Amino acid sequence: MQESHINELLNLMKNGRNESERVMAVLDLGEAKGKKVVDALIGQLEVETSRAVQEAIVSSLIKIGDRYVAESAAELLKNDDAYVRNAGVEILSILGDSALEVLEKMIKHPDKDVRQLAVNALGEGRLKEAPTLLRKVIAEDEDENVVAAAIEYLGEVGCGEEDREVIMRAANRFSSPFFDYVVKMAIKKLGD
Amino acid sequence: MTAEEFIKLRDFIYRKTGIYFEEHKKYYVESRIESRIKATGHDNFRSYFAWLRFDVTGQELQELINILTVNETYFFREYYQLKCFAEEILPELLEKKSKEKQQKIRVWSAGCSTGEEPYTLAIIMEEMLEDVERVTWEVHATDINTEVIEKAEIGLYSKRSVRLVPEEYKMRYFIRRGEFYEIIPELRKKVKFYQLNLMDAAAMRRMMDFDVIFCRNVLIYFDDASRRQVALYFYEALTEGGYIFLGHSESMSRITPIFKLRRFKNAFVYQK
Repeated sequence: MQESHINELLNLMKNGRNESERVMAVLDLGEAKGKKVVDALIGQLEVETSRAVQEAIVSSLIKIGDRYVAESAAELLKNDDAYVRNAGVEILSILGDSALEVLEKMIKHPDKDVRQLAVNALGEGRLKEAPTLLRKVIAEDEDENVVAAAIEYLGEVGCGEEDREVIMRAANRFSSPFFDYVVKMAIKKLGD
Repeated sequence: MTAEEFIKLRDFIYRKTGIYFEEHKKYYVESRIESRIKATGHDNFRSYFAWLRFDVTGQELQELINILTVNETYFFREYYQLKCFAEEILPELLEKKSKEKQQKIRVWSAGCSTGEEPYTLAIIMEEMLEDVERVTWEVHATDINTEVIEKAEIGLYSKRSVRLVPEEYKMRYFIRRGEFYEIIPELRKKVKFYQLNLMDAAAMRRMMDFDVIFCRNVLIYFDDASRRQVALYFYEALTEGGYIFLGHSESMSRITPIFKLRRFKNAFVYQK
């Protein structure tokens, strides 16, 4: 896509005559590549007041889908707005391999809420490495809720003795009715 | 398939699609899963599920959903939604059109298959708007598959397809052809059939000013990202306050939050 056309679309995204024109401009930007477009989409997502335009931005970011999108989406996990945070999770979960390194980093983030969202993205996605990373979270993370989220997903994607052992070891580290229930359900799903 | 395996699969399908299979559906799910295990060359549920869960293309999930939701199409399917359209939405639209001094009501059957849904909508429009002066209507019917469009244009249906059509309507809108029922030419002419790919941005942009869209049991065949994109195109294709009907097991709220959920007496419908 030519630079001038990109600039025109970026302008329409912000200043289009109506919501419809802005949504269409954003959807067209999904055909473009490059940091400039991704930065503009992410920036607009954070300040946008129209949900339809925000949804179009998420759609276009997924379509662009490169590693830079993953890195930018990871930043959204820290956003104050729940919609924007969840958009970050959704983008990361759909991106696949482009998001792997970013997710590896985010599960070690100092903020437990960010780690939990990263676990959600891992669990909802289809990364082959997800079970390994979930096991790591279960074994190493110090927050009960983060570990519980990882256990729920490992119950679904895991299999075999190693997963059961990792979960049972975590059961020795945390104890609450909620955590016990999550462990019980995961073990049940893992089966014999 | 063990009970645990069923729960694992059921929870996964529910999270991804919103379709929930109760315990008593285990046998139904099991028999279909077995066919997919065989078709994909896996030996058991465990290896199949691992493959399904990490299939980055999402194609196997689509295949699985296809066979789990396979339903023949027929006239007046999901009657409560049609009742809502006829008795609650159409009167509201008429009032709106009258205020806006507009005369045309436009309805789109997206993913119309062999035509049962758009012809049903045409019958309803004909019946409900027959005595309303100065109001005209259009039913647009699209599908990606040109073969089904051709069949729809011919308008010939089996007894089974028309089993829920009231006798009175059968007399008025069909001609009996032996074992088959043919749509009368007057009604056939009123439905505009054409091929359309819901993911084709340029083509979707040409779809505009629709008051109501029926897209039932179609979006379940798309992956998450495409589903959102199509929902956005539908949003743009609707007039302000326009409605979209999805299949009974589908949920727009799981796709995008841009539509409002309206609760009518007969059904839940999404509104722009």
